[in-house]
Amino acid sequence: MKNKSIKTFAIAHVLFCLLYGQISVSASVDINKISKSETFGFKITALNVDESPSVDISPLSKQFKVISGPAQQTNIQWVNGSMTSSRTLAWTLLARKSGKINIPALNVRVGSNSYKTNPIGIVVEKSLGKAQISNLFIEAKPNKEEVYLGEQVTVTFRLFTQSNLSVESIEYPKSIGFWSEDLLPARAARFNNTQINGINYKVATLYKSAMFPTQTGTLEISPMTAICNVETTQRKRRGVFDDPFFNSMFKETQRKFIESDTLSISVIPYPETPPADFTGAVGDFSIDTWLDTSDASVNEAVTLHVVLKGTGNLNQFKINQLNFPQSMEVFPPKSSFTRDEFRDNITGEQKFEYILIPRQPGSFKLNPISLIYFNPINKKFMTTRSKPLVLEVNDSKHGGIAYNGITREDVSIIADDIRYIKTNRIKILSNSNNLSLLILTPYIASIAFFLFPATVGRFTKIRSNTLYDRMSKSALRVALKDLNNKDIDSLSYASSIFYKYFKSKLILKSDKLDPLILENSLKGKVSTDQIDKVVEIAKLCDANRFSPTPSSSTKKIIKDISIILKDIDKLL
Amino acid sequence: MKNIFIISLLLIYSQGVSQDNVTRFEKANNHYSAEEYSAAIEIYEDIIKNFDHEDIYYNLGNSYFRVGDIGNSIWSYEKALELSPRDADINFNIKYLRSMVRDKILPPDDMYLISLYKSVMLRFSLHDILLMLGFTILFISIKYSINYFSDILKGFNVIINYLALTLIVIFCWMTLDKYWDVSDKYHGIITASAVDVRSSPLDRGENIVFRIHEGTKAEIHNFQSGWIEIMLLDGKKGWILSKDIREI
Repeated sequence: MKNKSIKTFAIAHVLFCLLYGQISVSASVDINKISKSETFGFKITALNVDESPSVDISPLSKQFKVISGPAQQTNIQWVNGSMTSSRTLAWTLLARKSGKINIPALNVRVGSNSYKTNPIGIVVEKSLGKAQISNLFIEAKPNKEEVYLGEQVTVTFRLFTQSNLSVESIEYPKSIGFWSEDLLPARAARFNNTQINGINYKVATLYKSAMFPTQTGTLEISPMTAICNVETTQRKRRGVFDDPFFNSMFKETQRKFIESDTLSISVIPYPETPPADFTGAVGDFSIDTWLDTSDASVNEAVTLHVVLKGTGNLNQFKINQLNFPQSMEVFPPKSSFTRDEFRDNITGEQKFEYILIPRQPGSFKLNPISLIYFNPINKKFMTTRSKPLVLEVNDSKHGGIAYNGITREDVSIIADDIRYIKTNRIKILSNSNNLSLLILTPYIASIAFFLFPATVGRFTKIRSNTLYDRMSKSALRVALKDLNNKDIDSLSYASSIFYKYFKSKLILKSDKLDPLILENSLKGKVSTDQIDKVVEIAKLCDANRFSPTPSSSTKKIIKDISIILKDIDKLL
Repeated sequence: MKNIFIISLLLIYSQGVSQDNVTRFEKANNHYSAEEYSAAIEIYEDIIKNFDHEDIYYNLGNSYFRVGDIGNSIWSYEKALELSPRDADINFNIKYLRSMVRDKILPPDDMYLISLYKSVMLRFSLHDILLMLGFTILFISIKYSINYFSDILKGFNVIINYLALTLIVIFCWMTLDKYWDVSDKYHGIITASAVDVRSSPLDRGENIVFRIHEGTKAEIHNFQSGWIEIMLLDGKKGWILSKDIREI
């Protein structure tokens, strides 16, 4: 099996050597006469090689800028039974200078072998200039060409074109000696129409930057470069469609490299010597301070707000160190910056918040904060001051400690460890069974609350249903109790007790009872003698009802009533 | 009368048991204070055979930690946490020990609401949720009684009913979920220093699928003579010897 593989490989190798011709490496360019702003293609082709060549193109970097590449291409052809293969590496280059430039011989490595390419000469003509390639250019425009140190220069880069194009890539300018801030957020180019010298252009702002010089002298802002794909009309077609109408249908894009001019900005020193406290502020500023409260207690935090407003190189200078009273602890300030987005000149508010903790009571005067700045309009150094502030500090409401010279700091962890065991025996005694009882309590209580209204209702209903029965049963007891009352002094009252007994006992509806009704009601329930006795007593009571004074017969009648009621009650 | 006598006897007996536990608990604590951790472990382990209390498990966890047994220590804290999920000391210690576990097992990311729900569930025990449900029902029953006798709540009845109903549904779901979690899912803590997890319950060299270490928590899925099938939080599954894991 192994021998067979070796044989197959040997045959393949022989065939490969026979079929493949001589290895050769060559370099070529697609055009050798170009203008400075034009790119050109550079190719290295290796013939009859079985692996990709590798090239060191560093010798080109001095004279050319690599726009893109290397792109690899492999091509195999069969001509009259013999195979030709080629591997190509291609770059897009841009000449850095004009004149006659030589592309030197480059070392190409293919596998373990090394080859040299042929040198190529190309002619780079001077850039045609804005006027000549006026259909496409980038304009770099500063708002000022002479500024003071720290004064803002706004540089705008605008792309002018007469054709449709898309921007492939942009290389933003480098500005050594400037502190810059972008004014235009990165976004796709938006074109507007404009006219220059009567010619219509489409114009798009590619980049806008606020630049603040940090050194004096003549400073350069490097050009902005862009690669654009410009739409061009193909006019070579002839034949049936040889009409301008069809031109719009046969458009192709051409890759163009464009760059703006290099800008020179002259940075001049200040007209007079800066004061000692000047920290580099250039522009127009105002400063304001306030306390969130003017009355505070000892150890109570108070915030001091310092707001610096204005236009200029905000964020690039510091306000002078503030002097606070000794007995006041001050924490480093928090700062924030809010920019006004609608202005090209950097304008905004810089806020500082100092946390002050007074450690002693008293009245403290906070000195005004001043800022010295250079105003480029007046060409003078000016000073802005905040108003002085007074902070009244009272004794701590909670008896806090007075300042003792120790600055508080975070508790530092020396070592990590677990927490100590629990030794509370009472908790152990409360077993989890109690917990179960605790859980059951709300459920039991809720059952009770649900049943409570129904129980109350039922009880009330029963009471109401048995009212007459209960009255009947307790009729004798009530009557005897009333009769035994010592205050009873007339037969009128005894009569009402007598009738009330029968009304309750016999459950009679009528309120107006008389001897006849009693007789009829008792018939069949008690003996005739007893009925007669009842009727007799009733008649006697009725007859003596309005007797003015109690007499001995009244007491006798009351006694008789008691006896007869007791007797009758046993039978009813 | 007879029943009262039996209940009294039971109460006296349980009080006796508690007193005995308290004595032994204090004895174990004294051992711990004297840095005799092994003796303390022995007593704590003996108490938990018939008595559950978070403080005992917590102290047992501390004792295991002091003798360097991270696996058993985490196991004890997990048991304590089951009984008292909001105890700050237990949470602190278990967090501290979990940071010592070698295996970094990341559970799959949940949606915000699900992770919020899970964190809420971890904060409450089954008892807590039952108690909350009980108080909600009690609240409704009180409202029912008030409505029977007075019209004072007439304007708020609809809102109260909806609120109470929503709470009841939530608490019922939480109770069921917690109950299923407690009753259906078994967890364990790896107590051996390193454990080879195998694809099958057989002690062969080639069936090792991954390795886990002491203190790692795993879900127990299956038992088979001397073997336990486990699943990690991230979904990895395999078999280990039952002696290498302690069931929570």
